Amino acid sequence: MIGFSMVKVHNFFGEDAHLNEEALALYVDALKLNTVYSLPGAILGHVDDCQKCKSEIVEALSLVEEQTYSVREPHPYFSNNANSTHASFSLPYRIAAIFLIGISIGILFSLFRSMKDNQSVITDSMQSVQVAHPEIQKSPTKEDGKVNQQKILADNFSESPNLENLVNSASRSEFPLVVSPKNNAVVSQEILFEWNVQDGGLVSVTILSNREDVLKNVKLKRSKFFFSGKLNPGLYYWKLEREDELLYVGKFFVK
Amino acid sequence: MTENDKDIGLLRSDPHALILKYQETVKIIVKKYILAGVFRASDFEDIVQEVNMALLAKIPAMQLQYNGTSLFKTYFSVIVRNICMKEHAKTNREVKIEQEDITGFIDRAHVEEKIVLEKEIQRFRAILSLYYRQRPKLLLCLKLRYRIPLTPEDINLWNPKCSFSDREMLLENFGSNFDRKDDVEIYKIITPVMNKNEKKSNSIDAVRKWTDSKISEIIQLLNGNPKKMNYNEDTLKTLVDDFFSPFLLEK
Repeated sequence: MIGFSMVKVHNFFGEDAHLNEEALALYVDALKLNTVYSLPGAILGHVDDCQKCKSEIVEALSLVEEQTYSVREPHPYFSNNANSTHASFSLPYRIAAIFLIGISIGILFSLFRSMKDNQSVITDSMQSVQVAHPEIQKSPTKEDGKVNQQKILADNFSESPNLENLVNSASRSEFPLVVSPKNNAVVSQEILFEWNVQDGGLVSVTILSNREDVLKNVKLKRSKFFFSGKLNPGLYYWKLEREDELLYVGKFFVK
Repeated sequence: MTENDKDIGLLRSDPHALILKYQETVKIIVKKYILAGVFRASDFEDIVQEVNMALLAKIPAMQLQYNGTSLFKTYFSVIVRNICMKEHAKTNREVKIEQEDITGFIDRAHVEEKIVLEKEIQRFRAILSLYYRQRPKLLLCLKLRYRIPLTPEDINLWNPKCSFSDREMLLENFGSNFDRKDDVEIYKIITPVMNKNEKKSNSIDAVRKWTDSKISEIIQLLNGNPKKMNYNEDTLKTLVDDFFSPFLLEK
């Protein structure tokens, strides 16, 4: 089945139709690990409307505030469901979705083929024109300019050679300990950037696209930066700098 | 094998050892409730004993109910909390903090104002995370209530399909300082746009009441149950300002 994983059925609700103890604990785990939007839709939807459960979660969270929750340690739920959707879909919806996906793939495939055919016809004719008239430069055709949707999606996730080298390089004398996001982390729309840099001072945080476009730049004295802007799904990089010194380059994915 | 795997193993094979392992957690939680006035400081040892007795009795239920979805340490904390609340309901007496000597239960490192404020800000962020579908609208309404200028990103987050004219109108009215606008003016402007987005026909008053109710909910959650803090609409502003200020340069 494309796009859906077999989500293990869990019982998250007690007899009183509120979250049971395990579901409350799972929500607290999600808050500590910053994976709230990976929770099951049923839990998110219920808590959205339920003051009682919100109160229970807030209280439970206060009890574990001193405890360290490491994103490096596998989580029994979030690690196993990292690639699954958080809503479970019934069989008719799945069949309908597969049917629609199949039709879309067929349409895209035939479009792609016709673009390729047109392109090769034009290329051939251009080549023969160029042979006859070498002074004529090959100019882009409409088909060259047309954007292939699949190519855009792939491009959004392709790596930047320059920034990748910096990510992989760790030979700096003062390497700040980055708390979050970890390299290659998959994040939702809101991202907490957190680090520990000795000697304080003003630090510059820059978020870049995989095409090295600067999307955001801030200068801070504190060691946290909460970003809540809209990022399209793709690969992003971020830099920590101080004066003229590059302290850290990291990368993360937005799903 | 992770720590969580070890805990699960102990729950199945040697639950008494597991309860021994988590004694520090039990004591920390009981201390928190002493500081909150739920229990007397002088009852600390007794309460810890009661909690342990209740945990021992609850082992079969825990073995049956815990299915490993959450981390065991979190699940255990929730269980201990519920036991403490039941214990509190049994005695049901409010403890006057000023009569108690709680000096042994205060962690001096956490009394500094800066640390307390940081913790409160984190709690506020966590509370906002509890609003899933309502969050984009809630953030917008909080900005409007506390007169924080809107950005194009705010409007995009709330309604990606907002028309160009509505977006321009909102930014014209709320994109810069709008302290002089009163609540009636603000809701008069925002209500038709919200109705368009939500395909509803709410009155101006209904939208205002929705915002008021959400702010009340947030204040209730911040104050805690049992009540530990005394937030109101005015003091909430500090947290709201901080939440929306990550792009400000530090002076």
